[in-house]
Amino acid sequence: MASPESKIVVTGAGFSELGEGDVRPFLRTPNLRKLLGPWDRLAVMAAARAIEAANLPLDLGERAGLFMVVGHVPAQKDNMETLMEDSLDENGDFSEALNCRNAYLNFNPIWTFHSLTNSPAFFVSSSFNIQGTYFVTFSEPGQFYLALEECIYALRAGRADMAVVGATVDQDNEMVRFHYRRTLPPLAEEELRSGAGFLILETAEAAAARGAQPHAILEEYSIEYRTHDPLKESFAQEEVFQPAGPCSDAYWGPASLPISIARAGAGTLEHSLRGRDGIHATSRWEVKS
Amino acid sequence: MTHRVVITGIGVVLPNGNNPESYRDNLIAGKSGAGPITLFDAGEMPTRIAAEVKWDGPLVAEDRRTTFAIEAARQAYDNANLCGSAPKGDGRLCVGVGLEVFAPADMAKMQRADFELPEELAKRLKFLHMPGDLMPHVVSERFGFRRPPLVMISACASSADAIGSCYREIAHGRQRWMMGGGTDSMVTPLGIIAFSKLCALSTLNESPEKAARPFSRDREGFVMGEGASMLVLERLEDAEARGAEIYGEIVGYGHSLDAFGIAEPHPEGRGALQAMQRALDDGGLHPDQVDVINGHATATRKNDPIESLACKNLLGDRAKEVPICATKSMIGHIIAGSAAAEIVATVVCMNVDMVHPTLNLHDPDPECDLDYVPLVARPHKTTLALCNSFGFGGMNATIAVRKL
Repeated sequence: MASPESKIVVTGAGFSELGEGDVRPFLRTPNLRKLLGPWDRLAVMAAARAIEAANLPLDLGERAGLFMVVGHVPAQKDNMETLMEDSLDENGDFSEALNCRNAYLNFNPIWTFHSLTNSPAFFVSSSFNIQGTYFVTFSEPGQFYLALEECIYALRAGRADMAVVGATVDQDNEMVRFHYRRTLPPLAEEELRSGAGFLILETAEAAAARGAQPHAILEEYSIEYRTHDPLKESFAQEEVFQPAGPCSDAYWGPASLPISIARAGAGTLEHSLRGRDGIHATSRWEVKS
Repeated sequence: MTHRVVITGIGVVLPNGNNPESYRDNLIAGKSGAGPITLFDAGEMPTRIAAEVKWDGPLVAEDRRTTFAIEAARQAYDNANLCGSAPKGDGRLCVGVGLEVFAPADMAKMQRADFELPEELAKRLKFLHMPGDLMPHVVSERFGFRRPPLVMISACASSADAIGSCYREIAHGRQRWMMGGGTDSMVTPLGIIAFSKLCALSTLNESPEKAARPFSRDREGFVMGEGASMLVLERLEDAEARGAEIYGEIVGYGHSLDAFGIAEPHPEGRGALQAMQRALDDGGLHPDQVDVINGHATATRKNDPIESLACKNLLGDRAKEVPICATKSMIGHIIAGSAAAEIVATVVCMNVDMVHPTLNLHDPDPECDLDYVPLVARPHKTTLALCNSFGFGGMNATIAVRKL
């Protein structure tokens, strides 16, 4: 059914923001709830909406693939402070020995799960029983294009019948705010947003075979790269949506494009990106509904 | 597939060897790289041992992951060029890289009221610990790669996925050659604390070399390792045309999602079996052709019997005839860098008709009743090997390697 020239269509799209939606119905077992971090919740909720919009069952199985990007690893200020408690010696200097002892005593094992970069992928795969091929990467908007391209290869090669493709970012925390303060030029914390966007991608043939109506069609995309040493050279990010949309005036990281597609009205959506990681990418989508 | 994909360059920086030859010799000799932690004062932590890289050179960006990756990539590239010519066309990097684990001393500085970030870009980015996603750009720049690096974060399967992706890029004609592998270093206070709190680490502090005991009845977890391994992969016809030495052929890549537990494998080994079977299917191969399996073999209570079960289900009546070796018994668990180190181990041992041992396996777990090559290496002719990596978060990847 698939071929190297197959058109790629979006048959479902969903997004989520912090503080809304109930993921409990989607978790494989209720006790997984205690391991959920904010970016996991965002991812599960957005993926659920995309899958439902595509009229697919919530149990996708072996022929479904997962392609996703996560933002920078989050950590809350109070958790970081807890790890540093009682780590200064009598001179007020940081003591590694004191830190090792006290951080061990204070460390909550849940934090390990919350900082696992592939944790959102786990929650999406387990919630929707996705057992097929995957590609999970991080952390800037250009990486979404690399995930998208891997997905296109997989669909056209027939390694998956459908793909759940998206990104999730939790930027409402001290660690991510710090990360963007230190980049040059820095990003102000007011610009940082948290959210997730997911798309269901299929070949046009596969979508037609199951009677699915495309939400959007990927008309074209390009990816280029400016080789650079990030320790010596930095770039400002330039990201443009035409027409302007919900992600035009803030920084949503790699989630910006899938969120924009999920929220776009009918018409052509063009995206152009010059990322701080040297990835330059463009895409054009024909949104049907 | 339109192109066969071969390995023409190998580089390693690992706890028991900082080049492929010493790594191979130490694997065959059963020499462990584990010892007391020297990189920081582990004080009263329950685990005070690790398999550290013995490295006294300078650190690039004060980051061991980046430093090891650059050195392994340099070795692999030089090794691929030994014939006097370089791989043809533009290269591209695909690498598995580990979690962010932050530097506690910097974290303490951050909390001071008078804290200010340094002015200089490099110092700003190094502060707190350089983010893992910068490393691939640093390595790509060193080699002038003009396509964006692919960065895999599938936990312990990361570098298997990286090498698998390289194989696909080349096999499908999208790249003529690639650099693939993985790097990690979680021998840090927070790395050790995080895994200790999950009861995943061995606490046999008095005998570090005996601490990693995959498939043993008394296994209690892994020894944290660190290091990097890189491969140069290219089209067979290109390698032959330029007279490059060929160390092996990647003939299949399969992966799967367990969709089950974040820190426990599917109880029937479903995802592990899927990964192995898909790797074989990818190469048009049959389980009867498998001569050796390099196991994921973490020495955790849950992994080893489930991996054994999956191998039995794959191999059927031949299960007890196919040796399964555990590289982690010697180099510890390098997390995102582990798979690449194990693929290298498989290739270098295959080329001298040996299979390296699983150390410390005196008393096997009754649920682990296969041939794990206990204690000593053995001569073994291998044509086809599978290398398994089954990650936290239920991501499983298998690479099939053939001797040419």
